[in-house]
Amino acid sequence: MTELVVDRLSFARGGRGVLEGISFAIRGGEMVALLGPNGTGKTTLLRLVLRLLQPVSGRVLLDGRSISGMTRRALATHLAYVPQGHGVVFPYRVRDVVALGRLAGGTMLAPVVPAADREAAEQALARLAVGHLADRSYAALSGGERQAVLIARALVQGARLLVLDEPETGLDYGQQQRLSDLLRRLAAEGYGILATTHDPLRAARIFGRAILMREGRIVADGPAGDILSARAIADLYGLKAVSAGPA
Amino acid sequence: MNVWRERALWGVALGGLLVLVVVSLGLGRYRVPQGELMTVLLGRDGAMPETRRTLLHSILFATRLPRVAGAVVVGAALSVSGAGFQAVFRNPLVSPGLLGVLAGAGFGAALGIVGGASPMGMHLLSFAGGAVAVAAAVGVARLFDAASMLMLVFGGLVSTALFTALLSLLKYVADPDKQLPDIVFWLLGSLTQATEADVVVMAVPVAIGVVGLTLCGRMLDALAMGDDEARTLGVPVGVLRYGVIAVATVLSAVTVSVAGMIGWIGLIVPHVARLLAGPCNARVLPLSACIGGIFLLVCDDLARCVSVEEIPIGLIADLLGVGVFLCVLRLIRRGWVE
Repeated sequence: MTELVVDRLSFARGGRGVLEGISFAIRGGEMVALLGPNGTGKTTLLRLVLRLLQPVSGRVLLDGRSISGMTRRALATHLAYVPQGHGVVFPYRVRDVVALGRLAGGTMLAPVVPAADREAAEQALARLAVGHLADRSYAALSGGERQAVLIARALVQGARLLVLDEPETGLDYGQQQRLSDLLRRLAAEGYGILATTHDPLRAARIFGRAILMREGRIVADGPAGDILSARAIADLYGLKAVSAGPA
Repeated sequence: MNVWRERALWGVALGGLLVLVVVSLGLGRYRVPQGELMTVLLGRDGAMPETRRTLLHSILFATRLPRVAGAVVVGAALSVSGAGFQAVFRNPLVSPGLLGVLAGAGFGAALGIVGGASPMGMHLLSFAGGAVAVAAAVGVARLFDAASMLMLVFGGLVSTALFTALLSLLKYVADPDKQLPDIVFWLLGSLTQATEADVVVMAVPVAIGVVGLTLCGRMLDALAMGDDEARTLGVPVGVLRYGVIAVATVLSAVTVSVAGMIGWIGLIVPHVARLLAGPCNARVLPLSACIGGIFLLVCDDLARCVSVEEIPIGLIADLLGVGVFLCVLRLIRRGWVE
């Protein structure tokens, strides 16, 4: 089972410390929410985990191997990134977007999309119950549909650890519910999930574990239902009180 | 796009190009009847009188074929270059001139005219000018933030301004009776001087470039999603971006050394290709080559045939390009996500 270990990771930008001594581990089947106020370094931490930034010190290990020694392609087959559902300039079809997930594990230099890649894309879309979107333009999809498509691409990548950046941003209540169900299903299948979120109440309900960050440090790490108390949330976000506790 | 539609599209594009090449060989001041043209092209001219056969071979193969082939290769090179630049910059408004390659190559060739360089010297100076201009653009970007595409575009603006100014300086110091008209006429774009050797010199890098960029098509599709996303999909973004810029620069620069400055086409043709084949670069790049070849060959036919005096092809390409662009703008806009 894939294991991600973040070991005493520190990062600075322009001489100013952004992250300081971050350590945690995630195993397959775990759903981990990363919470904290804006500017606390959550996205920076995700970018370090994905090797999009280089740490000042510390390391990230995948199954005991440092990611700094891995090729981009090898890393991509272990660790998949699901960004916020964004737009693209050119109107790619959904099946083409999803098939890109096979680049790392398949052929990078190809004049056409290999049949195996097309098939894998269709299977992933069907698995997430969004097969009907295959021929739609990705740009024309709603936020929730885009998230599902990007998750399908992550599955096609073959990675067992998914890193999601605020996946519920811009989604309505129904879309958020469907996304939560999907992530829980994937976790039950053994996928490790690390996601940043701005909704502690939702995180307490959906995620098994939460990591709370403030000013570039981890201030709490444990079962989401336990550590996301009204008091902890108020402290984390500098509030006097939280009106409704976790369900 | 389903398989049959794709096959039909390629059949029409390649068939259209082939038919146009044959028709173009028959066009010109000396009209070659279609019957005789086909007889010669199919090698069934053994029964033809020797003098007639020699004349037709001279006109068709020594004079017109290099020019027709030159138009196809230049059109293909500029279109693929434009498609490559649009893909790496994720911007439908980008053209091959963005990083200063056309201005630099233009300056290099004008330097060759002023310095009395040989045809090969013109090729080299033009190519060197284009390469130096792009290197200057990249250098300016690296001074600030090499990873920023905005800085790269800014570097391109600086480089274009610099080489345009240097070109103006050359025009200012050039001999006004001989060199200046040569520079001006050459800058308008023309294939009148294209020789067999020129076409071969151009065709080899263009063929390699088109195949190479087409093979990178899927990685360029990943790049369209954003640099970070492409990296997490396993794409070596830096190598890909600068590799494509280098190839697209070579493609543009070699056309300038043979045909002068022909703009527009590198901006428009990739849009038409995208409209017909969808946005995937593995289809857009080779289809751009085909459509670009057709477009410039039509321009060259018009340049040769609409008046007694030949009109510069760059001028025709610009005028026709504006018309085509306006006609298909409504359809093309469907391909952009605003």
